[in-house]
Amino acid sequence: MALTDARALFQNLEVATAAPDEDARLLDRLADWCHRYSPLVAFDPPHGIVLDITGCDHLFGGLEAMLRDVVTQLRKNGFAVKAAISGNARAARALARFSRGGVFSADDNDIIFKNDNIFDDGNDSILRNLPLISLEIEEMSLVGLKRAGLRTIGDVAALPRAALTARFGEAVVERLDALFGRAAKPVSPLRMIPVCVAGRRMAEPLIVMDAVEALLGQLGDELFSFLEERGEGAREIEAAFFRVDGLVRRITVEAGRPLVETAPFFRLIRERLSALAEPLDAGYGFDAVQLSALRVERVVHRQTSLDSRRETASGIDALVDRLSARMGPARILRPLAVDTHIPERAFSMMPAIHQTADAYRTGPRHMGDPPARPIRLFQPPQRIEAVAEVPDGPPMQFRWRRVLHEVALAEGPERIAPEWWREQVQEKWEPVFPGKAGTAFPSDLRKTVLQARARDYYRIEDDAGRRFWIFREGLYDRDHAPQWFLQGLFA
Amino acid sequence: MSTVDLSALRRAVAAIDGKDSDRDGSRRSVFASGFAEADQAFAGGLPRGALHEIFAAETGDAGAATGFALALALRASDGVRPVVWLEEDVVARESGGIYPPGLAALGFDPSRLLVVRCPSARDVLRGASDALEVAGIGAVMIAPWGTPKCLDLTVSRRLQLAAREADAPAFLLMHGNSPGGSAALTRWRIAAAPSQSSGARAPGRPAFDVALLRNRQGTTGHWIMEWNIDENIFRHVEALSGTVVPAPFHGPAAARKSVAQGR
Repeated sequence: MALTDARALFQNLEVATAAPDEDARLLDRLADWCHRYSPLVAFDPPHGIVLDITGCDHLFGGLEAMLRDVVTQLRKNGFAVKAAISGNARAARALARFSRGGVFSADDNDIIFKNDNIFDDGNDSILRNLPLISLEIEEMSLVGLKRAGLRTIGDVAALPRAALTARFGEAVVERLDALFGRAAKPVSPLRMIPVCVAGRRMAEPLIVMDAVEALLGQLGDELFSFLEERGEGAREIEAAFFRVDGLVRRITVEAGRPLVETAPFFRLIRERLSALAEPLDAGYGFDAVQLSALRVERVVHRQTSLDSRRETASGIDALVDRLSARMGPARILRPLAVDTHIPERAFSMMPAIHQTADAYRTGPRHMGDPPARPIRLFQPPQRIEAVAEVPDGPPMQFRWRRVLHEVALAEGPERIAPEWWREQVQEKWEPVFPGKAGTAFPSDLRKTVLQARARDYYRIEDDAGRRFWIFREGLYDRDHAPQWFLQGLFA
Repeated sequence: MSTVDLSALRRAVAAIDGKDSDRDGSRRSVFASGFAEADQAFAGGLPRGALHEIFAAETGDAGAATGFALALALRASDGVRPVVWLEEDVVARESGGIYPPGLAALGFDPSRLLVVRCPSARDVLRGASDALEVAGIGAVMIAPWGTPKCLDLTVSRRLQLAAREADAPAFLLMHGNSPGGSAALTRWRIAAAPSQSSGARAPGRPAFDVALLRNRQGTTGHWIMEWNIDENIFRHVEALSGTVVPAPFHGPAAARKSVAQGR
């Protein structure tokens, strides 16, 4: 129906522009909010959210109380809600959307989420009485079923499967199976499922940060006692703060070795909280706080060693955790040797939180040789202007950062050829003739790859005694001079 | 056989021995640079648990200053203890980043290294005092850029005390600018010095023009030092003894020489 037609029919029609993006954002926030009920939350499009509440209902005083809590909380925030709890996600969806909603199940809580035929004992009459549209099958099949005189799901379910499949295809039978829990279709949760969770809901929202921290300490004790029973420690813990106005803030701390006690975890999370770019804002208060262990590791308890070196190692681990919480794991690094001749790739810096201190392999060195590699490396290398003897002599003088250096001593060249098996990836997108825009044909691109040049490295000492690592990219040829770069500073 | 890395061997032996200087409580609070005149300026050796300020004479001497600090750190620690190197991001852009293969080439084992790249000088200094709390730390390198405002007398005093408490040296590596007042025990100005060519006009072992400008525990001085990588010690720059054969880069000449020394 066109808007004008609708307006003609009903003069006081309220019109609002559809905003699918904002709807999605709101649904996102709602889903986030729903994590207070269960860690398994998923979208159920359109405009729906499905929660797997297996084992969660007793925390909220049973299924009915839980459903009532969800509905009243959401209504309080101004949402129109329909909700249903059932033995499987599909049935819950159909019941929430096409009936009055409520808890639909057998009496025994235990069997509620088993995908057994729990509806066979007569509890499924409401499901059977739902209209055909709740099957949510394609229009053609729906019309076909209606033409056959079928009105409810029960009518269709009574028909022989073979006949249904032959007439309407697999879809109808599959949907029926899902509704009656004969085919298990797992909910795929939005967030990683934590190994264990310690949470607290407050009647009176927490506003003072001291109180929040005290609560974090208590929750930490609970979480670590769970983990201790399992013989595990946490490598990654997430703290979720549920604000009264529905906003959820999540803060994650990582540790290089599994955490088994509250005290070190508490230090890390405080470090993290004080380093947040956007500080934790309690607003009108938090009404729920959860700690989830996202990643755990088996812990072998060791007797505290008398060896001072091991003590140092654990001290360094604690330092790594602490600095990583403050500045982010990408800034606390350990060097790893990489087997390549290209100087800037001969090492890699790995986050220390994920990387234990392994042996760093170095090549053999001849007695009495000065260091062959600089102590500081420029990435990328710095352009210099150099005067050198053609074709492959070391520079006689060069200008770096507007200062002219006269070369006193020089050694080289040490030729380092490009790695043809990798260079392609690097220079693929560089056009050969930047002047001619739009002529970057594949042949041009391949030319660039072939042009990756060998470097000739020289160790240079200038007249003041400063030692540099300089290279020439390519060779002198008739048409143009190669470029010189300064890549490192020697001690 | 002949191309054996002596310093690596020493490290390995030290690791097997478990040779911790503080194992039986007899803490050595000084370490020798190996350079007699410099050690005499401290009456016996440089204090281990102290804040040492090392700054480059000019921007181009950043490599020399870094090398000197690393060499002192090597002298001060036993070769296995961890070294934490905190550096402000600007330093890597202006003077180049720390290059682990180059550290290894100076005799330092990069697996001891923990690099902390800090966004600001404040983070560098805060991280440094955290690092000095780690029991048994080898050394802490503190490299802010220029002379940051937050590095005042109080902060340097705190670092000095933390270093003394930890019995580990903290080296304040200053880049790009000359430092102001501080509570550091020593202040060194480092410039590169012409090296003794190892033959065929090739640059030789690292040589430093070292000026000890301030020393709260002794006298000051000005020396030219050379870092001997093989023996892990500071020496005078000396002309090579024996005939200097122009050595090819990976050639057998150096190997032959070391065999001769072995006998």
